[in-house]
Amino acid sequence: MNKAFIWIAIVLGGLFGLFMLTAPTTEEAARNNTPSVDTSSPLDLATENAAPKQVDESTKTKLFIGSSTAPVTLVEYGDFKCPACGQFHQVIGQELRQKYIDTGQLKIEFRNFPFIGPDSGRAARGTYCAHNQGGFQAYHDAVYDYMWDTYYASGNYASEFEDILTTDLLIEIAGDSVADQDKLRSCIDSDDVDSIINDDVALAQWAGVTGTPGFTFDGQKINGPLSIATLETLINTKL
Amino acid sequence: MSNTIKAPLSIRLKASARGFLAVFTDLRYVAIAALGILFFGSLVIWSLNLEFARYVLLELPVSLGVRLQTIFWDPLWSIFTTYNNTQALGIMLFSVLSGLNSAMLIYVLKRQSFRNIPKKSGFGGTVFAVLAGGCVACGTSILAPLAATFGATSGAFLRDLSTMLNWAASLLIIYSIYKLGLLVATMQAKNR
Repeated sequence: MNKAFIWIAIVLGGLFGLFMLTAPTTEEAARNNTPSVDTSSPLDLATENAAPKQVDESTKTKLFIGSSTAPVTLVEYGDFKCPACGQFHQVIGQELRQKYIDTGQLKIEFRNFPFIGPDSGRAARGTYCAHNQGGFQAYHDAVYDYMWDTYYASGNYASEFEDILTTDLLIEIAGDSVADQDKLRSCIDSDDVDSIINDDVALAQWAGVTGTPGFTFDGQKINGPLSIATLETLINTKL
Repeated sequence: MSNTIKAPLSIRLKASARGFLAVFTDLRYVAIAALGILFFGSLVIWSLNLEFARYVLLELPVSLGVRLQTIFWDPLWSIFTTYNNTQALGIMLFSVLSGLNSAMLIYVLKRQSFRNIPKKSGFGGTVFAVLAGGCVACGTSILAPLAATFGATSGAFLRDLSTMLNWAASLLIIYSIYKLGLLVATMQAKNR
């Protein structure tokens, strides 16, 4: 009996050790865990197995949810077509807003990681185009809400791979969140902001983010959604 | 294993169920199963975030209790708000089955030598589930680098593969529980 328990302890210990030791380094992850890039995307996203370009984060245009002066930052990598991102926005994102963002303690820096389809890239362009008119957060919320309310809340995940978010629809969804809709349209239909989005993708690759939603917090990479309790624990260590 | 009951499937299923119930009428094995559920659930959920799990366990400036809670309790407690229902159910099913399977395995090992346990005792299921990763809707899993090696880079493909592995894992563990239940029933019959 004792031998059996020793063997079980060895196996569990081995699993735990493997669990702790097999994580790739950030650079390995950046080079090897290149995400699934839809080549039909309107954006010239980084190609597979290519080392991502270096990006100077300090000079990069940043998209914030919450006050840019909030002391704690959670970086989120998202794709507007990703159902898990939609769920994060609807549930955990809302709790974070109530508890930390609305009280000025936390800001989420949103970075685009558009890999699902061509309309992911189109919606991503809209973030910086709306930002240029001071309407990023409203645009961000409106697009996620539209995808959630129209498709994902009812379990229609197949729509993730349909080309839904046309420029016309994005303008309609954006509504009053931008002052000049014609300017938004011409911006989304151009490649004016593509280099900034490619910077977002390069940063995701350097961070080792392999899908969406992905996060970095205090230099730590997090793939996939985290529970609100885990996020609260992390945030509270910085307050 | 020479002492397997050779009988029609319905009889074997009933015998396996009797063996299952015999194990879990002992509260110690219920407790072991509960610990197993936390362990295996955490293993799947954290499989995509090994570096981060290491940071939480070893570096996060909080007490040991909070670290353990963050790894083993928080992700499972809020699984239905973190993941969609299909994913959450898949992970919960795998965790519960793995917990039960572990408790039954320990019950058998206390009474039989290691050589007598069924060959398919759930290890394959665990490997499948960990490969599937906890985040099948994120267009990623720890399969991503492996799949990319073979040219499979579509998020949809990875998600389907992960989902398939997750459910295959649960099926393998159900088979393991069935075999262990039979073994327990056989052991009890011999002791009478």
